[in-house]
Amino acid sequence: MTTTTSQCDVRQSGPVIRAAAVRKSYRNGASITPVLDGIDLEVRQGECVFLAGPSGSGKTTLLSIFGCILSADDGQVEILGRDVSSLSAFQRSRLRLEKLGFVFQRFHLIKGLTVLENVCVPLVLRGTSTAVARRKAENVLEIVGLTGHARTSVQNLSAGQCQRVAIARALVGDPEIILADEPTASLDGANGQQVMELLRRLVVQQQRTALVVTHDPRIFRFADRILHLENGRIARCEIPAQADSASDRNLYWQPATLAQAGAVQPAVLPAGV
Amino acid sequence: MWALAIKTLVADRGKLLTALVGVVFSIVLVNVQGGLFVGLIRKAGMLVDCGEADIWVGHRNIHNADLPRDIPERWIHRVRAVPGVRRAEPYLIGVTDMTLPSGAFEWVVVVGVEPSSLMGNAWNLVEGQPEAILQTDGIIVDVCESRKLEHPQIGSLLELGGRRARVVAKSEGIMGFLIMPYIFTTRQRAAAYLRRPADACSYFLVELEPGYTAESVCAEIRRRVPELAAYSRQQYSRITIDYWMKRTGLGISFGAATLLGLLVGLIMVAQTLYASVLDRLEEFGTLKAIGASERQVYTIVFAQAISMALAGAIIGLLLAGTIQRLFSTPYAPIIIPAWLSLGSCALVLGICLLASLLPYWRIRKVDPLMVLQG
Repeated sequence: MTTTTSQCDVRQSGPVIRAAAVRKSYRNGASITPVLDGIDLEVRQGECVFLAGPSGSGKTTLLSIFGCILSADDGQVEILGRDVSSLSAFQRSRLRLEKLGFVFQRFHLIKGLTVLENVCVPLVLRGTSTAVARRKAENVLEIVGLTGHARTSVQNLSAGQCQRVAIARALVGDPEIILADEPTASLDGANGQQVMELLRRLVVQQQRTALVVTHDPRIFRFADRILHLENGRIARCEIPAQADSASDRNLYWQPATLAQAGAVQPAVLPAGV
Repeated sequence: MWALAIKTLVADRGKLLTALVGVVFSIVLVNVQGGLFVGLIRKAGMLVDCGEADIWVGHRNIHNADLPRDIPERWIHRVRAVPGVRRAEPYLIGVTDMTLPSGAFEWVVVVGVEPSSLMGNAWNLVEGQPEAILQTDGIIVDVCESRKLEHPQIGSLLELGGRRARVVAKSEGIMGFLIMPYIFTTRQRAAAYLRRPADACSYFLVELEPGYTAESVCAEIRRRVPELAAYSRQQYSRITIDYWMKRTGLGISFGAATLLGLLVGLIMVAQTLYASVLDRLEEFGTLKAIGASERQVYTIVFAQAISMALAGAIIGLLLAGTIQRLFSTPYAPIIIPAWLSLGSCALVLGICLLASLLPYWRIRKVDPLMVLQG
């Protein structure tokens, strides 16, 4: 598998997410359960990286660490070149608010607010004026195809529409990184595909970076790389087959090797890869 | 942020209504119960508050307008000589028995005014004229006391202190703190009804010259006539009210009942606010995950508490005002002074803010990770 220089140039700018030897354990009384056991990872701008693996493998924990919601016990995590371990709780909140966009499995929209108001929330938290926030939210709603539902209460939306609102909310603040936790888990197959197509299209068109936790192999084709976690380690890195044969090849980054993919250190790779 | 807080508050109408009921209940309770108390206790000072005198001069140990001790009438000249005194008139107050047409009797407070000036006479007359007390045996009774006095009419004859009295006018709403009805007549006739000497005198009622303050004239009266006490209208009303408040324990018992009710209402509010926050921990977790700081999340809770307190206070005051208009009577007047309304609002606001502090630790402990764990 080869790639053109031009394709690589954009993607091979500095990593927007970098993890080195990240470890995390959960303490439950006297017992300590290791969840992440030395994760090394780099994600570059414009990449769409999936974290897959069985339950308990550490996917969500890793996503939480990259989302500055959890702290690693050990190792180094850099988000957009900033060492997050050195940030205060407030600085981490600001980083989440200004640079990261979250899409949750169960949408977590705020009941009682309309679609437009839900999308405005990150901007309201930033202190953006109401008029500007509404204008931006309306633009994003147009992108996700929900213009006609701006004044609808989120309680009256279908699951697919809710996830589109959640994506709009994640995008409205113009974040550099989108972190999605099982974005299709609450959706049926067709809706899941649509949501992922939307997410993928936005990532590519707007040159954002996405890190997606998923169990759903049906959406693997939307990834540039799929990192399979097992027992707190990256067991293998997969380049989706479709990426190789996609007609819209320019949407996908196709590294020649896993090492080039920058996913893991060679020592972590399974034999023969 | 406030808009977000209010919209999310209004979204849960059931909880909002429960909390509002608590706030409204507290405001209504404090204002109506407090208004009843103020109305009752102000009856104690009614004679002083509604009379024409700027200064009340009496025995140096006076402590209650309705229960005075006689002073020598001749001292009135010393008071009239004080600069700033426009006029000073003797005034007599005492308790005697009234024999009713049925043979029953009723204790009454007889108020005797100087016939030449009628200073301190009954006010708010609904039948007859104030000067009618100058007629032979003339007395003024209050229509609100009709039942006690067996419904006397103008011209009805009654017996006061063993002497004849004739109803010549009627007032409305002159009801004292004591259960005894007020009867107004001339001072000399009052002395006869009270079985006291013709020159008996309880007070000198003083009207000030323009440009003089009550405080300065009172001080001068006390200096020139040290055997007497002189108080401004407001001071003597306060002294009379304090007498009943302190000697009867009324303030404590009424206050305790009001506070107890208030406490129940406020606990309801606090509990509802707390439960409302607990119900929405996931929402707060989402906001935190998106990037809201703890301060922002707390601002939302704080804004909701203030909004609820203000909305409840406005509704509560309107309701209390309506109750006042519908149910306030001279028997049980509901007087809601501005300080009571403002004080109750401030109290409820304070409690709501305090209640919003209760879930502070829960909000602090909300881990944004919860929204990533399904």
